[in-house]
Amino acid sequence: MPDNAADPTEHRQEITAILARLEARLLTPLAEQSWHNLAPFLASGFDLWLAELECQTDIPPYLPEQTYRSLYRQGRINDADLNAAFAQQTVLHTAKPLPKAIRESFFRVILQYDLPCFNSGYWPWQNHELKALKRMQADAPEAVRKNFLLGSSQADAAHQLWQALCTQLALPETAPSPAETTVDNPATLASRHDQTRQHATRELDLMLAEIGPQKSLPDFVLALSGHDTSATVHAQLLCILGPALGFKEPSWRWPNVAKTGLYPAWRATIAFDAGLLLHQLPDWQEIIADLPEHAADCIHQQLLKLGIPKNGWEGYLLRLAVNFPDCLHWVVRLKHLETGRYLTLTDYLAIRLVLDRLWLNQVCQELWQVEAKISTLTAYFRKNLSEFLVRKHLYQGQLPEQLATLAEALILRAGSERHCRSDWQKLADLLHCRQASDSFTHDGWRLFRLCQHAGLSALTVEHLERNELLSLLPRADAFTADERGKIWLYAFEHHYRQQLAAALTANTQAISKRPARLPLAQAVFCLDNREEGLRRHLEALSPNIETFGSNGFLAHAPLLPAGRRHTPLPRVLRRWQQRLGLAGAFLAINAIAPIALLSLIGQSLWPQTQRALTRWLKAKITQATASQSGTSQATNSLEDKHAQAASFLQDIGLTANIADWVLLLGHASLDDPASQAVCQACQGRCHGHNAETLATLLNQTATRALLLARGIVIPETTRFVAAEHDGNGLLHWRYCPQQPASAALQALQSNLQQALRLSVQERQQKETGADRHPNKPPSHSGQAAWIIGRRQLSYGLALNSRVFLSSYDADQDPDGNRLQDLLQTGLPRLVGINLDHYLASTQQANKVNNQTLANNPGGLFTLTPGTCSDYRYNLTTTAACNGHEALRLSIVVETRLTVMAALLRREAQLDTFFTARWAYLSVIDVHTGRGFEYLPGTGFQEI
Amino acid sequence: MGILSLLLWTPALGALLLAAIPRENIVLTRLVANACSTFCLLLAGWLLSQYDPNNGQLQFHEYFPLNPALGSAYALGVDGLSLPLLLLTCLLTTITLAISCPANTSAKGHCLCLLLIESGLLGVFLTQDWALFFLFWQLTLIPLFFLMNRWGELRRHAASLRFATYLMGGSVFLLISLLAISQFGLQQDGPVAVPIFQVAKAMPKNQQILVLLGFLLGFGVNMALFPLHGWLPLAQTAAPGAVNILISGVFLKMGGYGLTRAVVMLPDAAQALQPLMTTLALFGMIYGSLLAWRQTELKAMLAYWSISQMAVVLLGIASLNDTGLTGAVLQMVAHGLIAAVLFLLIGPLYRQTSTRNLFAFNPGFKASPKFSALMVLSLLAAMALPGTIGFIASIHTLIGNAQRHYLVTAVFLLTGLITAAYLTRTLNQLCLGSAQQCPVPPKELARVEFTLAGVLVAAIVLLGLMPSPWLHLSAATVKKISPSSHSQTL
Repeated sequence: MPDNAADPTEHRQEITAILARLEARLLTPLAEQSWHNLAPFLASGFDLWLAELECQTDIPPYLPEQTYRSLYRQGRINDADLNAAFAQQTVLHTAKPLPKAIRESFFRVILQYDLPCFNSGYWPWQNHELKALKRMQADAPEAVRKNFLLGSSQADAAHQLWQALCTQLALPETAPSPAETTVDNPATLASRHDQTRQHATRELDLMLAEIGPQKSLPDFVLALSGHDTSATVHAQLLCILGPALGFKEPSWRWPNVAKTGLYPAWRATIAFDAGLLLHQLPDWQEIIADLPEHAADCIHQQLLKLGIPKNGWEGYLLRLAVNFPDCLHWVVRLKHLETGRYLTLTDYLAIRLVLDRLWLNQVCQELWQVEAKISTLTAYFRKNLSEFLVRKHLYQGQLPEQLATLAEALILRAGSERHCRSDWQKLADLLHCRQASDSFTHDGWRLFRLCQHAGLSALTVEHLERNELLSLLPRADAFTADERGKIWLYAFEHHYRQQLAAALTANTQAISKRPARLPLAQAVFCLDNREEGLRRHLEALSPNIETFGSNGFLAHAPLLPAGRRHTPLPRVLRRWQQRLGLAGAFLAINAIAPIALLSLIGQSLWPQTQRALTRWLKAKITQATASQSGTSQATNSLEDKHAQAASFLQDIGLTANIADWVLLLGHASLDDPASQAVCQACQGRCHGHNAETLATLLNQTATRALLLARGIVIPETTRFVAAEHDGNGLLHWRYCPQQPASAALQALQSNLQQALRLSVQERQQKETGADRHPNKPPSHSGQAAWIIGRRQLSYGLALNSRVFLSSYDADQDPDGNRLQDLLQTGLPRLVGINLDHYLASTQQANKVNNQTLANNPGGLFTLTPGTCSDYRYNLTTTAACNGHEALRLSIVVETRLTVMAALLRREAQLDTFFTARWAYLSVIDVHTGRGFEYLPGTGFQEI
Repeated sequence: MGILSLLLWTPALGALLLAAIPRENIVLTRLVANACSTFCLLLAGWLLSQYDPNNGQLQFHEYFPLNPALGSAYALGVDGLSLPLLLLTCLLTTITLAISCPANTSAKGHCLCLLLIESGLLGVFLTQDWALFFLFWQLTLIPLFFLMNRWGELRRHAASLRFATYLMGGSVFLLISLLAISQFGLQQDGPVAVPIFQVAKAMPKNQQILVLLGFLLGFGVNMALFPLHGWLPLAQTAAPGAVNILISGVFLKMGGYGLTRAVVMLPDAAQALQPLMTTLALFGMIYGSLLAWRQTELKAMLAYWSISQMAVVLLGIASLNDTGLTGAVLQMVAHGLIAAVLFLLIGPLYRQTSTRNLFAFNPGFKASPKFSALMVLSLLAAMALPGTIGFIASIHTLIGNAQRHYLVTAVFLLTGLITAAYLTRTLNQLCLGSAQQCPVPPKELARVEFTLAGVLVAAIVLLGLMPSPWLHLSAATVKKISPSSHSQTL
């Protein structure tokens, strides 16, 4: 430990600096009222962001190719979409041109069909069982069959093609059988041993170079031993960190944890190994006894002990941080939500490194009798390159069954290359030899498939040059999975946008023919996509009710009392329990039991009095909370309120033709992280009182007089009413004057109730079979589009609850300032929400488990702090239940083209959202009804 | 093979048959499972028709020595104490299997577990040998654990783990007590065929007390007696509907049945521990009722109601006289029937509304008259209103204890009041509101559910209106085994 002894303060500072940078990267300072901080990645663009996310988390950024192919077969992606996508991907066209015969279809074939690599077990299956040389490939499309067959039979055409390929590539017509390929040939193998060693050295160097931000030491050991120490360590970490993170109750209390933090408390108890977890691990007592007091020192010590190169420390720690995302998220959340909690990123990493080392030591000692350290492992494998090669290929699952059996038997028999060295060498040579021969013959098979799917007959192949043929496969390999994913994604989005635009354009034309009339009532909803179904059902039940969507409840929150969230008693009690300890909480709960009893007695004997008393108490508590949080209504001046009210009405275009009854409908959510997803935009806030305040304000004569001065005419007969509903469809009328009695109001009330019921049922039907909590409301679909325009634009369309609506009247906003406000307020949030859903969907589709990191791409976007955290741990489930699909947000604005173009020129940051491909923009001209798509760099193009 | 053996092994045989059926064949699986349980029900009915209620001795006795050195034997028998519970087991298992089988490939495991539970429960009520008794006792726990863990709702893993921990923990004390009695029997009588529940009467008083304390712990956990009830609320809220019915309907009664036998078997200890049992019972009644009053989740409320009702059973047992014991037996049957029908009715309600929050719905009588009618009758029976079996059970327990101390009567009545308070509230919320206030009004019950719930409600009302035959069924046995009559005869 000379390093440690030299100057621990310096090392601590060094580690602290690294961790500070890590935190800055993972937990970028957060801005209140901002859903996601897109700034660090805004300019670099969606594709680069995805690439970085994949690099850090190993989560595939696109849906699996099979899913996209299935969508293609279903007609949800068509050839026109693919053409549009290929046209976007300019990189593909800049490379050397392909042979003319295959130029058009080449990339599409690669996209739609697999060209699997040759494997010695694969060929006999294809040849003898599937009769690949006697019939055309079964998955070849009908359209190319004619070109390929040219009037001959399938058997002839396939056989001739194979012969032509064999001739061109100088291949034997029959591939060697597995028996032939695995027969030992000592003379050949011995001569190749040097080549094998060189090959193994290259592969070892490559693997070692990956240790750092890409791979951790447990990953390295896993790749060579099949032992996943991370699984054990993760389970241990959950036990240790779980209580601090709120996952579980602690098994026992950590000593002085609140004062010292988690790491020192853990260090003090782990030495006793009360759970008998460590007692079978080698040298665990020495390792634990040697741990320094400070967590940062521990990180420094363990990094040195594991032999991680100093310049790779930051990357390695980043890898460890994102490799256990459940915990990381909670660490992040705790840091920002509840200051003073005893868990920090430093504690987590210190404990993680120690546990990693303990379990890695066990594996390394058992298998190779060396310490778990990069330098010792490197030295060992440089001496035993044959073992390295065999292990690497076996545990990567690259070996055919016959060789895999040989390798497994050898590992079982010899353990390491220290024993039976000659056997290891023979097997390694055989593997290397097989690789070379396979790579030679599998080219023929891949071209055979490619030609059939592209419709190239034997005749065409014979006319191609050998080099042209051979150049096809490198081009196919260069068209990587990520690039294919980009194409598929764009095509999928293109199809959706085309459909949406077509439906909206057609709807505009149909609506414009409808005579205008004063509606019976008007109802304003949140822009939340949950309201789309509600709006649709209400309009279907009563066509005389006009509806609006508004992000007013968001944008106006600073001036109106902020949305408050329920803090139910059990949660308060849980907090108290944590503070008081088990015994204290038990006593406290029992002490307040008589009060609860009184309440129950009152509820049973004098229900009305009890209800009135409870309401009064709640109001008192609410007032106290509001005054504490400084968001009291009293802080807003009357002028602000009037400006607020005017702005609200102007934003949604409700400045004339106001009906007798106008409903402002807020929504509420339960107070748990899962339920915050109920309204993604509002983060689970309850906005009934916002609606109530606004309605009260708009009913005041003074307000109306001031609004009149601003050109907003509210008839005397108009009454604003307010209500709030929750995810279960319960409706609570916040402000609804009983007088004057009105048939219109009654109709509004009954229709709204029924519409709520129908929308809840609709959502429930989507979630059939989902494992839902009894009290958890059904969730709702993720959105894929945001319509900014009049409701008439989407009136009558069943958009499958996938659309936000912000009512906007372009005629009242000639210079586009209101539109600018709307976009600036909503765009970052909605893009962020949509990206959450995008990742949750890809994660679900790729069957990535336990990776909540991608739900909210923590380090890459950051979280919203405080009580309005957007942390949603079950987003994957939500996405799965709702069938949300991975699409970027499409924004459709109903305005004048010139206004939109001017706005984009004026506001470069808004433009960046579209040029960097975070979202798509379409404009429907408010006067002509024609649709235009915004193409970055080109401008608007008519759809 | 005797009728009792046939009854005991039919569900086990059914489980074996199910094991051989491919899991994809759901129709056959359900058919076999339902056929087995229905056959058991028919056998139990036939047994009832053949049973002589005037004879308080064990009837249909079967005996086959297994290990004479240990005094264990394959000994079965039925009397007025076990027959009502036997009937209840067969009835509720048949109903459970009829309504709860999942319509996917997991049906096989589900039905298999239910049949194994039925076999275990029947074994507990039929066997007269300590080793077999404990074996069947344990047999009920394992499939219940799997049912809860595999088919339960949110927090099912925690619930099943807690269930297993509590019940297995209780089983340790039970085993110790059973071993003590077995050893005593061997020392006293040698390997003679003496039914387990008659062997320990001659035991010294201090030993009896220790053994009874062990039984009180073992059976008390199973009965969810305060303070050993911790597993029940979580288990009931997390368990699937079928398990709810079985736990409340029959499983809790195993403990009551065992404790009744233990008290009879150890009369001196029972006299000594009578104050302790009475105190526990009274405290449990009040505690369970108060907590049930506080609940807003229907299943949790019924779980705490069950705790309170099982405390009433303990109070009946602790009376140590004929009337009290009759009350205890009746209370077990009454609670079994009422809890089963309530859980049965909550199932469809939850399926349709996705919530069990009492205040989340208010469907009203008009929305679903059949559901409301059955629910009203069940809740009234749960309040022990005259005309239902609940009343007959409560009145017997009250009379059995009335002469002892005025506090017992006072607490009993107070519990009744609290129970009426929260059950009236439930009735009001579920059946008397306006359908307009309910976001998703429940549809009417399906025909099968209505029929099965109707059978249970009919039984509740019928036994409440004409309790004499049922009382007569247990009277002779209760008179024979009652510690008070025993001491008088002595």
